[in-house]
Amino acid sequence: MEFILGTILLILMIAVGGVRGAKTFAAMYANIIVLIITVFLIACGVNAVAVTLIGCSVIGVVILFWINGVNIKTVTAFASIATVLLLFAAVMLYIGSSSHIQGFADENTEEICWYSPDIGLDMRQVTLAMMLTGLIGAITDTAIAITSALYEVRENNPELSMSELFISGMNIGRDIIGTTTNTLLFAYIGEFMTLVIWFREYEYSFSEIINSKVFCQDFLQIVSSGAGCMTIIPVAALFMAYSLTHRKPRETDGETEQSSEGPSMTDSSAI
Amino acid sequence: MIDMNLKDLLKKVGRKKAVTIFILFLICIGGVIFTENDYFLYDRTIAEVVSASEELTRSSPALINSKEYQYTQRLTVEIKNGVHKGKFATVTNKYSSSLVTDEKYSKGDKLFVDVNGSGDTLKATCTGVKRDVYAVGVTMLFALTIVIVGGKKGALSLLSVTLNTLIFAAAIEFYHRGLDLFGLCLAAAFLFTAASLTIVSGVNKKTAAAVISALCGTAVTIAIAYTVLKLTKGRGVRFDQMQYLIKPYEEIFISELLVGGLGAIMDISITMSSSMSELIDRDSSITFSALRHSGREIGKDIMGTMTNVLLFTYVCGCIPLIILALRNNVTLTDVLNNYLDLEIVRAFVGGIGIVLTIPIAIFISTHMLKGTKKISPQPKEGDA
Repeated sequence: MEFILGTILLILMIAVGGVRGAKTFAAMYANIIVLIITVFLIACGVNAVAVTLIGCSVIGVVILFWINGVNIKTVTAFASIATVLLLFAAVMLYIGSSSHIQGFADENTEEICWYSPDIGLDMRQVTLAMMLTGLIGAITDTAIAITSALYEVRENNPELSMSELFISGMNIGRDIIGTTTNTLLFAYIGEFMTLVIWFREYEYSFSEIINSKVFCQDFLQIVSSGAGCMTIIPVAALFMAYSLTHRKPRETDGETEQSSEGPSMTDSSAI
Repeated sequence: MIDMNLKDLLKKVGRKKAVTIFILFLICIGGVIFTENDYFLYDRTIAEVVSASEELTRSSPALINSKEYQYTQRLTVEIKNGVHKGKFATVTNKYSSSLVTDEKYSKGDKLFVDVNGSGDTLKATCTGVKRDVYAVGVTMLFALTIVIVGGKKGALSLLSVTLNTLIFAAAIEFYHRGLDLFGLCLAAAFLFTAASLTIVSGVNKKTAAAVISALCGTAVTIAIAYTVLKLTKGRGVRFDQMQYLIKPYEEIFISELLVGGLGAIMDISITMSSSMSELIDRDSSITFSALRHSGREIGKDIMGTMTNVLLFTYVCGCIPLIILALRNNVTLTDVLNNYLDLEIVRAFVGGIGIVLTIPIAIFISTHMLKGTKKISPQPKEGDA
């Protein structure tokens, strides 16, 4: 079933996106592989947080630089993602460890009953790794949307100042908010459904649900990713406004960058 | 330099908005402080850990050249509600260093306890952690960031999220009362789409085009997913691995696919229809083929990041289980086959939805938006 769905997806991506569609599909697979390697390394006992941060950077590189090329847009997007990731690593570490959401809840007993819980690995770190992985998927989309839109704004109005650029970055960000929150919300509701049906079936009360480990694991992750999605907007807008206005003195640098970008742009439009 | 810009910004943000945000901030802090002290709302006894001491009771070789340490904690807790309010009790808690199924408590943690015995030296057993303050706190953090960053639009998105959650809760309630889950999800999908797109972009032709494209995109995607599921009889997908083992798996899974892809499909539809209408507004004489071409370019730009958003959202949830299995010497292939397949299927179906909706949205919005634009100057052509 996976294979058939994968084939359908590949065919559709090529039909709609041409070479870039094929590239997108390959990037998706590359991401799955990076994720598997990350998880495998954590399971081997390498420090989970460090591995995840490195893994997330590799994923960022795959999504941004490989699909969209190396240029001021993708580099700035990468820098903003790294900043938000580090900031939220601290927030999520605090939330994750003080709310005791690591590991498995009583509701998961059937799933894990075959395994020994004495794994010699701190599950709090694994939880953090999980939360950060969810976050990176959510913020990459927004970061690149803002930096590339701001780049276009600057192209059309080269005299804009840094604060003006920042403000138009925020305006662009505001347009994305509604759709991003919905994408995330529905993706999570889709996963949440069995759990909610379970709660209803076994007649959990509201206070039981809101304090249960199994609910908080999902809920804290979803909502903190949502907050991350909002935080990336001003960060990306600020970084992009800064790098666009502070690139100006090096005129030649900017030009080579544009020319190196030129072929890829025509490339994609020719397909 | 940056300070100057910040002052500039503050001026532009305006006093009114600053005051609104400040009030909101106070409400959030108030909310967190309230849930921190909401002991009276609970029937169950709650206690706060005031001191904790622990000793290493045993260390044993764990799986894969590492050690597992077992600890026993002695906690002194202060009871916060119920008949024993204000008294202290002792709780014993055992945990092992991996914390897979157990928990390590420290000073300040709030626990649900069962008190046994009476007199001065109360004993209690812990039955769970009070996590409501974290749920509320994180929700407040989200609400605050969305309103600070998004202003009015952010508040509207928050409203849309709340509304969708309510629709979802209602759908589950009806399912529990015996209605068909898939049918309910179809109806909910219609409501979700209409409600969120209208809230985000108002009532106009653009929104109508987006709603229709989102619904068509969802319908085609689900038809494909359903056909593949039936044709392969779900082979290769371990439905029995689905969380919490609720029957019937297939019906629930297909409903999950429907709802899960919907957000991304809506996102694509609104992006496509609003850029199409922008293009038509800029140049009303733009040809169909030029529109289609620009639409495809925009589509190519967004499909990569969107499919990745879904991929990460789905896959990250199964990381703990995969690690537990790997540490238990299950081979990587078995782990991937057993635990990743459901999530990959979800991501693939979502991806199919995203990619399919691009041409559908281009077709529908060019015809709906361009068609009406033509009617006003040249009614005859529009009729034909």
